[in-house]
Amino acid sequence: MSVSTLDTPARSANTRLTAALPWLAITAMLVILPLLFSSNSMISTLNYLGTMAIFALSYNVLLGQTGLLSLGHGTFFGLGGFIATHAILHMAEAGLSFPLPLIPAIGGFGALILGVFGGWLASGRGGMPFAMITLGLAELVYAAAALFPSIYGSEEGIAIDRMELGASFGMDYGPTVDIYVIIAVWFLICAGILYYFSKTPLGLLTNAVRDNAERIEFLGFSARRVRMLAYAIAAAVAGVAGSLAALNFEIMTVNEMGAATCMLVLLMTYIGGTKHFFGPVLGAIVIGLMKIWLSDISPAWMMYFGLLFIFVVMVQPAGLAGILMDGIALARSGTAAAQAPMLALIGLAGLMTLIGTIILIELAYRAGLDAPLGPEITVLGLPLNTGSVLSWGLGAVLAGGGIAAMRPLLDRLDTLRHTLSQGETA
Amino acid sequence: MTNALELRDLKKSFGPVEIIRGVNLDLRAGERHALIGPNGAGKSTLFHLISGRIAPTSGQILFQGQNIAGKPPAEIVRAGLSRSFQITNIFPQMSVLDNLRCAVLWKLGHRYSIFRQTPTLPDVAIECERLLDQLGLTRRAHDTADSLTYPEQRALELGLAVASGANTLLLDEPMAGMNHSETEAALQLIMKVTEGKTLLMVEHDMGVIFEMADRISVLVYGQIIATGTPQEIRANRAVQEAYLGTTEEEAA
Ligand SMILES: Nc1ncnc2c1ncn2[C@@H]1O[C@H](COP(=O)(O)OP(=O)(O)OP(=O)(O)O)[C@@H](O)[C@H]1O
Ligand SMILES: [Mg+2]
Repeated sequence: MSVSTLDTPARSANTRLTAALPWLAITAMLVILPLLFSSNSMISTLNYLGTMAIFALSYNVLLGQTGLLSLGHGTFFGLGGFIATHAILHMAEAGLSFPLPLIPAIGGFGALILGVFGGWLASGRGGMPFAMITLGLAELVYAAAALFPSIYGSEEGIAIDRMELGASFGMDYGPTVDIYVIIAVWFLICAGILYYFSKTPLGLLTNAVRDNAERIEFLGFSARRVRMLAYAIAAAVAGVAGSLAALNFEIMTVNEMGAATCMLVLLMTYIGGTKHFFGPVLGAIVIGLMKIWLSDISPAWMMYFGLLFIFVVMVQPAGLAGILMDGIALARSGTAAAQAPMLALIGLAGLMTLIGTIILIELAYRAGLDAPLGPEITVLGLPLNTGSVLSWGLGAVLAGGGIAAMRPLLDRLDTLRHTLSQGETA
Repeated sequence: MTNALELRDLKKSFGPVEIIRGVNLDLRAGERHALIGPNGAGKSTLFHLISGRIAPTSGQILFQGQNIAGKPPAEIVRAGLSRSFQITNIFPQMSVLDNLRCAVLWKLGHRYSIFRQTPTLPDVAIECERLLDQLGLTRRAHDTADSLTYPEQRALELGLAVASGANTLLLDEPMAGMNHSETEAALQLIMKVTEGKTLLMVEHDMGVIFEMADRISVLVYGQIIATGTPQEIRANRAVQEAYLGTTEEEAA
């Protein structure tokens, strides 16, 4: 019996090729990036982004794939990091030689075991009870940290020397770029495993639990078991990410598994987009860069974070990846040229709103929190003054004008699209 | 003749209100049995009890001789009894094919496997292709379930129940809300996919019932007031008074 209509050999060979393309592109990117950005601080940034990308991918196993909102995923990032840290310290003390790149496997395995236990506690139900239990577990572990200073260190955390385990694979792990290699390879491994996982029977069942948890019980499965397994797998990969963070920074502190980390991974994943496999990676990159760069140049960076989050929730619930996909669909639709002028106007209005908002926010911060720094401030190259009506007026006019223009422009875009699609069918 | 399913003095109360008030019913292996009764009689509640969605207050549910009362739904399906729902209960964001894949995974022994990719499993592909063909959904295989038309969604709902491989099926108003021609098509479909299986089906359309049922049971106010062949039920005074009334002329 053939399986013709669903998966002909020709078709599957073809799909296999298109399925392999993103992976080839990503591998190429991972090779090229450190060559383009070779300064130490840039490599260090890349390391951070790679770690966060793995972390966000692991979180999406819960959020996007299984439809579970965990408020405590940072716990496994932190626990993985501490397990890795102690593994290195103990092996160094015992004089054992162990290849450093394999340390994250230990952190991941430890997190997997803890994840099975946590999942067993948390996964009786989805929705609100799940979210609350994960939050409770995270608080519990965080609070317990204070009781075990020998495990979690005190305020300063636990420091390691990543060179202590000696050289392996032709690297001595002193230079940041050696860690980059480790993170890049682990990124490919984790993303590959999670992608494969999403296609397995269990991966399919996680989607089923997301869509309609009750129904799978009537197909012979236990929704609880599926949630628990998804939780454990997500925990394991988060543990790998935490271990990589420990290698990168050579220190692990309890803050790494606090509420801020739990929130950060949620934001990255949601903003990047939960509906596409690589959405969380996009989110990790954008939010990670914002966190590193914006926090340097603006005291209001948390505010921009919040605004971006609200923007994504309102404009495209499928996240930045969804916006990207919309763009690709537009380019392919063949009507991009006809829509270009209108889209440019909308972009202009959006830019005006953005600049106006930035001016207002920066002025407000300078006038309030940072008043001691004086009234003069340069925003996007513009010399402004918190005492000048002109400065505030500029911000207000740009932001207000942009917002006011947006509605009619969007309406006209709708009309244009309507006529274009009419023309297509005619 | 052996019985696939036996209900013994089954009762269910919600708080102080008794909804199922001592139901006794035998479902013979291989028969098509219709369950009829006015709105709110407790037909769906009875299905929930049998399928494990809710636990009975008292009484026995013997499936192939084993008491399954109070067992979880998954265990009951694995034992060979599956059901469909009155209100469509599918996986809306997943493709039709993926919906069916979920339904066949257990019976084909793949369960919670993480070592193979579902699309590469030949037994799953063959089984799903057969089901899609039977249900008339081959063209829609890659569309999401929530994009299906209402009759298509009902077909998928039926498909999920059938796909699990159970030999006994409970179908709760599979053609509710369909027009005449859709109902006719759905009836043919049900006859086809349930061939050789034991069937207990809730239905309001008398035409459908008298056409397909070997036997009929009438549930009124939480109790079975009559069980018999269509002719017997048609002739039954109690049934006529309590339920059929005007509907009999419509059906005739
Ligand atoms: N969980 C519940 N709690 C309280 N009362 C319930 C519950 N479920 C059902 N009932 C009540 O039990 C009665 C029987 O409901 P059921 O859905 O079984 O009727 P039905 O025979 O399937 O009706 P229909 O033909 O309308 O589908 C109704 O009066 C309903 O309100
Ligand atoms: Mg009902």
